[in-house]
Amino acid sequence: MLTTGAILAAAFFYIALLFSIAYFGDRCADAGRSIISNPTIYALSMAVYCTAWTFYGSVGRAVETGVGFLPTYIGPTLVAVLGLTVLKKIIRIGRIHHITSIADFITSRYGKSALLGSVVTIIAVLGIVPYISLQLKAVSTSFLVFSHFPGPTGVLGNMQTPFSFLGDTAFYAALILAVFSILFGTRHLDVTERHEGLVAAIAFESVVKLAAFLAVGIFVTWGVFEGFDDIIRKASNSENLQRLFTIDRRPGMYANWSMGIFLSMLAFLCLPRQFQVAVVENVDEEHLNRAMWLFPLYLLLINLFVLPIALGGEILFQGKSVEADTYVLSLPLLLQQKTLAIFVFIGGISAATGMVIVETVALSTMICNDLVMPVLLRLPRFRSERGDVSRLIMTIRRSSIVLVLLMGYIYLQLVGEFYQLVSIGLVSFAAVAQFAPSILIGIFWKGGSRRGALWGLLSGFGVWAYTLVIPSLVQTGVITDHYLFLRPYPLFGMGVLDPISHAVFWSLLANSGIYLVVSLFSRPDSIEQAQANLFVDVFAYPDRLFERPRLWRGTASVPDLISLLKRFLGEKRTRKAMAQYAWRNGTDWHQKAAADAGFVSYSEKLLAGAIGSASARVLVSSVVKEEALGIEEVLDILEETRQAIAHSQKLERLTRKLERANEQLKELDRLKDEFLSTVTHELRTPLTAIRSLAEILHDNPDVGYEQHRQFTGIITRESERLSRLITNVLDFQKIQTGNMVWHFERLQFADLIDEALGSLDPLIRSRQIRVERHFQETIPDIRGDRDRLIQVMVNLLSNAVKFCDPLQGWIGVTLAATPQGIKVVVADNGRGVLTQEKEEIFKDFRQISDERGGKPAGTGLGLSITRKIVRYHGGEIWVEESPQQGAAFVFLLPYSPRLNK
Amino acid sequence: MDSNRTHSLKVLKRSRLVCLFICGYLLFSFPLITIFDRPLFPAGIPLLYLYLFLVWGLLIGAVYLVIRSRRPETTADAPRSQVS
Repeated sequence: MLTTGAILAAAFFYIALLFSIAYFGDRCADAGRSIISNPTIYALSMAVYCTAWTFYGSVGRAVETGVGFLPTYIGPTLVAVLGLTVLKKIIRIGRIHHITSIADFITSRYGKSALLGSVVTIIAVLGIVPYISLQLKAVSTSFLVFSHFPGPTGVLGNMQTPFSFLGDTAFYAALILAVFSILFGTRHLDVTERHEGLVAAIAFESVVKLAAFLAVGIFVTWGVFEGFDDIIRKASNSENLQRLFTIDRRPGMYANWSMGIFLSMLAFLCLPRQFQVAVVENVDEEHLNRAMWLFPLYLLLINLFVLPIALGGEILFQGKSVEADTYVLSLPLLLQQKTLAIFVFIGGISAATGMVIVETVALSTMICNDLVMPVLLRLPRFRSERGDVSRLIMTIRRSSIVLVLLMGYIYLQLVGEFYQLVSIGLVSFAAVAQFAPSILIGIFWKGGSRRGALWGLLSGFGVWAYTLVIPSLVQTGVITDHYLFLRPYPLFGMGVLDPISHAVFWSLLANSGIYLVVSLFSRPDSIEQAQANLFVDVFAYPDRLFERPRLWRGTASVPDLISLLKRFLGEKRTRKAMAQYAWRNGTDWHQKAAADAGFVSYSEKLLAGAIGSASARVLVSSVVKEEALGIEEVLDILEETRQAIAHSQKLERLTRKLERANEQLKELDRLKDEFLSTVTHELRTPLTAIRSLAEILHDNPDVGYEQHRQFTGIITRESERLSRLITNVLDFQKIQTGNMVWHFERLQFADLIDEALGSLDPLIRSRQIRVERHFQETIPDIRGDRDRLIQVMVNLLSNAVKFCDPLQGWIGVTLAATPQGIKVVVADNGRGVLTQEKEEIFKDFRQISDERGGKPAGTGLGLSITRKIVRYHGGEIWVEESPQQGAAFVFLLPYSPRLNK
Repeated sequence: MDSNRTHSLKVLKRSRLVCLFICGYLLFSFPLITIFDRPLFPAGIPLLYLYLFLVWGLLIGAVYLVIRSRRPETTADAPRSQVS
């Protein structure tokens, strides 16, 4: 039907489009405009997670195990939900330490050991190569399906035709991918460099593959059938398809299901390409916020139509030998939808190429930085040489890309043909999941040590190889299992789980178990501990601390460091980086011969961005005469900083409190001054009166009897007033300092009021004030201090006398029992209390400001003392409007007070 | 003061997300999943698929809402109108 030429043309057109997008992206980055600095693009680039495995393999998996294709996508969804706790921490660490790859991350966490880095790299390469070959297989298979459909013997038959290099699509695919990765993944060597063009192309590919898959899904569901329910109704007629709707028909499937979710959670965090897009290429931490829901949404959408396509394929291809892995493509072909078929073909290419490109770039960085560089740095000739080696590094990276793709291709030719897409991918997942204990435990637990990580990784990888690789080799006939002492599957006879879950369980058990045990029994050196602290507490310290660390002591010459940088970064980039440093720190290079700690660590980070942290450390320490910094000192410095921050926050709080207290004190001081002048004034008035009257009496012995009597009367009253004033001041002082002695006894409050009224009787009479008493019949006794409570009543009543209407004075006294205690109201018909003064009048030394005539009477202490006494009894006093327009003082006293100072 | 509030909001968001993660993990795993693992077809769709995609969608929606929340929902520290 479709000519091979048309397909090739479409493919080449698409590849050309990708190249131009990547080229455009790089151009923009060079011009200083980032087109990938966008949360949506970040989320889309994360969708590099969905490879040909998703695009073609999910349907195959669904035909075999029903919902079994879903755990792979549910796991990353759950990890995305945890984004702020786990991913953000990894991203922050990656940014601060200039992490270039997952191997670099683990190396850096465990004291920058080159050995650990190379182990991680080897595991990653061995684990990922089959995965890459899976993508190549998908590309070549889809091409074959296209060009031979409908082949006489189905698809598989054609794959086994005698094989030649030049006629093989997979070979060309590998070639084109190598060129792309080299062009856009290894442009130049720099610390802050991100592969902007590459990420832009990946994000674009994510859109294409999703659109293509949705197009097939919609076409099959509504174009061929009449909706979801129609497909499912037709499928339920077949006994064979009914089993796909539930899990439990097969033994051990729940365990496999949960294990699948668990495995994909770990793999999502540990796959080199995911690390590359999520951590290394991350422009802004805030982008994570959108990715946390957008990326899971992407996963949900791309899985929505897997079941309809799988069932539709099973129904339409019944009896024909068409592999379920190709349904996505062969369904449109069967139904003569050429345009759709080409679109799907392009979508499949997107899914495969996106993965291969990012994965090879990530692996080449790891191979170069963590495998080749440490070896090169051991060669004395290389170390003593002074030439520019950035070109050499680029060559190493480019060769690594070619090497990885070549390995993928060879693997495909050797064993790849025997397996389904998904099972190859899951084997790779299980391999990279071995990094999880070192990373996840390592960023939350400071105790994890280099030895623990190393032995954990080695044993986990060993168990992985033994339980997954060896059985597959036996199956393909490469080796026979006669030599095996222990059966690899099921290991120790645990056959409930499927081979993948089985291998995941045993390898991770060995891995994390040995990691923990060895960590607990080994003593980490100082750099290990320092790195552990920096990783685990990455959020505890401000970024400044990481940028200009003091965690170094030693001497180095600036020219030495500069020549080192020039060797690895090239002349131009070194000069740029130094200018940047000088600008930020105000350094004058001409004046400076000895490098300070800041510049040494800056250089190390620059180098780490180019060649990985382990190699950078080796290089820098070769030119620095370093004095070993004890772990105690490192910890001291960190602790000091942390405390300084905590202290400054505490200080701020204290300062605020002090300021408030100071305000209050000033106010109090002002009031005290006022009080003193009031009291002095109040004392002086009666004193002056007494003295002048006494003088008159003394100087004029012949004043009449009547006048004599009048004068001595005044003198008596004035002295009474004086002594009352003094008593008030003393009382106030006593209460204030807590020296008051209280005598509590049972009281009948009505008697008490009458007593107070009695003592004021002459005054009331003299002013012709009408007093109304409203006492409830039975008032329970209360407990209280008799004298003080009388003082309260006298204070309130004499206030009422003072302020009630001068001509037609009226005072109402009410006593009632309430559930809370007794309630007493003393009301008058005076001028009342202004709303804004209702609280003020109870304060010490406050008098009602008197704009309405007359000077304030009293000391300003009466009500304050009254309130203190009432409160001491556990009660409360306030002022209301009186029915007769004046003020009504109301107080409540509980029956038996919980003493309340 | 302000930095304190954003800090506590961050902590709150993080705790809410951890809570969502735990809920999601439980809903997707054995044994809760067995409740829906039956050959039933509400609206013509297998119950298990319906359940899984529904939980998935709701989880995404919940994450979206938590991420979008700008201030804590508690009104405890919101200024109240002054009524004496």
